[in-house]
Amino acid sequence: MENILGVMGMPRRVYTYLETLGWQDMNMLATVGAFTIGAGVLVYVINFAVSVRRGAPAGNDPWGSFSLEWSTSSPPPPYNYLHMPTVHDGYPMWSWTPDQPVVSGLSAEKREVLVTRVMDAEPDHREETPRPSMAPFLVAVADAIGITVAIFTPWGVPAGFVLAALALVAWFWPQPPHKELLEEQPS
Amino acid sequence: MSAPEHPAPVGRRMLDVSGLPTVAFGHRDPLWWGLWMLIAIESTMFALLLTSYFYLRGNAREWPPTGAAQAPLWLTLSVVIVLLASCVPVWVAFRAALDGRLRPIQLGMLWGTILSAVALALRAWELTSIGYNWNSHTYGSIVWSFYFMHTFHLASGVLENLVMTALLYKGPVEKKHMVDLRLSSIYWWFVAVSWLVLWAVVIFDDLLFRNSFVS
Repeated sequence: MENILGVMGMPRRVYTYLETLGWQDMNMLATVGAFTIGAGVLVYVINFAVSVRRGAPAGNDPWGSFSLEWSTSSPPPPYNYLHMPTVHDGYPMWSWTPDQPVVSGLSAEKREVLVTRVMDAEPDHREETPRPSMAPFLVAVADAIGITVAIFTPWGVPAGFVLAALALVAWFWPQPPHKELLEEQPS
Repeated sequence: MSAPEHPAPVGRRMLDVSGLPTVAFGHRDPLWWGLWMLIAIESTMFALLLTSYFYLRGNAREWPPTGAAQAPLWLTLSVVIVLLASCVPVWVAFRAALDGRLRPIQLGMLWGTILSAVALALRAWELTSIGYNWNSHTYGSIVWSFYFMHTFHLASGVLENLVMTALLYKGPVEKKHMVDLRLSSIYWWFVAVSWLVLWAVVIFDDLLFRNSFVS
């Protein structure tokens, strides 16, 4: 609606306009729509207020759903799953067998993520994700400096680029303990 | 790997993944998908710039404006040629990274980096010899946008190549770096090919279609 009005020439952030411009009907429709959405949100607010006072608290999986997020406790623990579950299909909790296997063999020392294949979701490899680092913060500081200086001189752009580049290199440069090494190493 | 693993669950069947490799190439690697999506985003950005270029052109009385002199043809052409040439040694490293043959990887990236740095230096020269400014006229504004956006990608690509080469010679080289190298190679080709397109539009429009199809 607003898109069509925009194409018809209505500017943004102007709260009123001349009657002769012919934008009333669609604006009225948009207003009715906004109140309808408001009424819908009000239903949620009432539902929330009533549910806080009355009724049984919902358990971990109040509706016998099929998807994995309902298989953990509510609220979930910070680590989500003690043992990573395996699935058969798109409806895992409905197709689980009583002795459904869990994933084992991921490192407890490093942040290892099990990567599965795109189409058939077979386990493929263990990807080690990066350790915590100060570098992203330094990149943000470098960007802020570059953009601020660029208000006064275009040289802020290359200056910010160089500063951010330094922080990015520090981010990328491998730190010990190293990941699995290549067989051949530079002498 | 002798690293400790999560305690095995008692009395449950297990899917043991400890024997799986730690790196994978191509579509098996999540970063590969990330890179192609990045390229999709950046390509869209370049496509939007090109759309703006032709939109402005269609509303102009003369295009390019009289007196808007490009950088010398031999100079702009040499940037394109050096960029395309740099793709070849990078391709050698790209191939060798699959089975981790360090020597061709090192040499490929060394020459790729040297050529990409030469391309960046030529680009700096090119920028100083353009005969109009970004605030001279609409034409200058959009063409400088091409130059600015592409030089930004070019500089980041040179930085990537430089860091990768330094790492390959200094070590220790991790298996994961082979995946990184494959990805930075693809990015580098994207940088080279995207300039071929932008350059061709600006130069051939100027040389062959000057002031045709204007309003």
